[in-house]
Amino acid sequence: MAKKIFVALFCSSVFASGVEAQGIVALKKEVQRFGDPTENVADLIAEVRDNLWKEVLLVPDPEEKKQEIAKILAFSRGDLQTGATSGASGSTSAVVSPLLPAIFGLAIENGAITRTVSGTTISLKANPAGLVCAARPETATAVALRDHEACNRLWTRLGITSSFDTSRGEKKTELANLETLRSQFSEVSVRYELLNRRDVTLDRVRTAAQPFQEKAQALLKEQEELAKAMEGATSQIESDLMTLVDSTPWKGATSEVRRKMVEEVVRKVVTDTKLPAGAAADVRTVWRETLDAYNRLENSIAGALVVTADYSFQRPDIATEDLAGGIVPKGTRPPDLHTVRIVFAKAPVPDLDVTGNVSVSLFDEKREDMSTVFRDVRLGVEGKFKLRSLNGYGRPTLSFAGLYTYLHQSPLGLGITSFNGVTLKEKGHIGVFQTKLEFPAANNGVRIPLSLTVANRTELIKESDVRGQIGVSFNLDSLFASK
Amino acid sequence: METLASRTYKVKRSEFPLSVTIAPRNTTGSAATTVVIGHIREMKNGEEIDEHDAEVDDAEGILTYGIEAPQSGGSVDLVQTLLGFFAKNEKDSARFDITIETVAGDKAPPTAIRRPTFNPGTATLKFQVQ
Repeated sequence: MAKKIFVALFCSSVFASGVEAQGIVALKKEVQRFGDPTENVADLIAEVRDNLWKEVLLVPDPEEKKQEIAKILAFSRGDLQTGATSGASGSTSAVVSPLLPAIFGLAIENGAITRTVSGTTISLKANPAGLVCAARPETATAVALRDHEACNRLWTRLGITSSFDTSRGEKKTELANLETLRSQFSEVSVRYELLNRRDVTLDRVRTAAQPFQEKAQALLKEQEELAKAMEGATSQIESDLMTLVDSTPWKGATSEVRRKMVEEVVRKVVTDTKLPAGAAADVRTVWRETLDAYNRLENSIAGALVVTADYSFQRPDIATEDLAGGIVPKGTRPPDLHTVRIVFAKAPVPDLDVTGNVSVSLFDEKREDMSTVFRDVRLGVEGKFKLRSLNGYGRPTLSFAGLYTYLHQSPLGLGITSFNGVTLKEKGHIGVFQTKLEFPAANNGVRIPLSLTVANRTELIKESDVRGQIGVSFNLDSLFASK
Repeated sequence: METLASRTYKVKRSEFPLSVTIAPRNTTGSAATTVVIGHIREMKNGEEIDEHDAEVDDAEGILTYGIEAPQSGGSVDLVQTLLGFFAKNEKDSARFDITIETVAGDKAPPTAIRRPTFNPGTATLKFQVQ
């Protein structure tokens, strides 16, 4: 009877005041779940009961609670490549990142890096297995979050990219002796994840895992001691919540009102709970140390080695006059280009991802007067710093990259015409330095890269060059994840 | 096995050993999303009289271990705390489903450690043994 009176008085106060209960931060998610009718309410009560200690411990430190919340961001990884490679007519990436979107990505970029003629490139990136698996509503989110149980692990390692050069079809002055293709297709590439240690067992990161396990065990001990001191409070909250969810006002209440009811119960119990000062301080210290150790572990895993390999195929435009001293006669197409690239990434320290690329390009055939099919080799390295989070948007990144290209012979077809009269028949060295700032939006679902590139020359022109590139990329995985 | 309240069970000695399985659901597959399993503590009249390590088998992130019957006679509680840590990029729906099964195959109602507001998510399992 007393409990019914308590519930009636409590409910009337919630309805009458209309004031949101204050101070429930450490159990915010736990309380919000009471608004969802699909959840097992008895289990949610146990969840609040077993996690009550955190709310009690954090009462004197609300600022720290807010900072912790700000750290929680979805899709904060910086190792995804959504744009085109450095050889495209529109690219913002001197160095390619190792992973592709788990399902589908799209990028539009303007400004070339090593190509002589700048243009706009649209890149479509898809993971075929991811697309098939994401078609099932029950697995879409899991696939977007790279849950390997949700889709065949072997096939989800395979990604396909198609790039389209929007300038094809319209002729520029620099391309006067090339007949542009009717199709805007410029490149197709296939990428396979050879090694991804960012989602493997704790054994891989034993150095960081061991201190975390030790701290977590210490926290368990402290929490068990604390539980004895909080026995009255945990019994009280369980009992009050059971009474609440059994009451008539609860059954007729909306989700929002239910959450407020639970918040009020939690707030009251937390306010009434007094812990021995020394014990609370000890647990608080061990808890923070455990979270520090956990952050180091997370960084170790997020920064583990990733190695991918890709193969790309490029088809150049048809020559409208003899090129490279007749290697490509008028009316014929220069040889197609095959490129094999290895991409690897590792984070040596938290918030800095270092990515390296090595690629070799070979012409499809050796024509008369060509010494070999070998066209070029590229070596690139990039350091990407994750900056402080922009509230509600995600983390911007600032990167510095260097790209060295050794051009063994005339680039043939892929922008062969030089508009300053310099013809590249001899070996050439191209050095590129790039700095890039990438702004996130929509929880990293959209990213806007701005880059500035300085080069000693481009593929065709032996003059130093400074260029700007801009783009926008969409990681559409987040749409599937938000279902 | 009788469920007295969520995560609190009344178990006959003949129903031991219990089998506990902890399986991740809706997670990214990150190894950082993990459960730290506490000792199994034997409590009598509110005092701890013994404790045992849980021998955990980890198969592709699915944790399994057994809980043996208490050594001491009479009315004893077995208490165990589990701490679930969730990586920053886990969704709110990420969870560890906990399945408890008697030797005869009777299963307790499902319970879970859901992604908490603050790490770790805590679950305390209590088995009252007569």
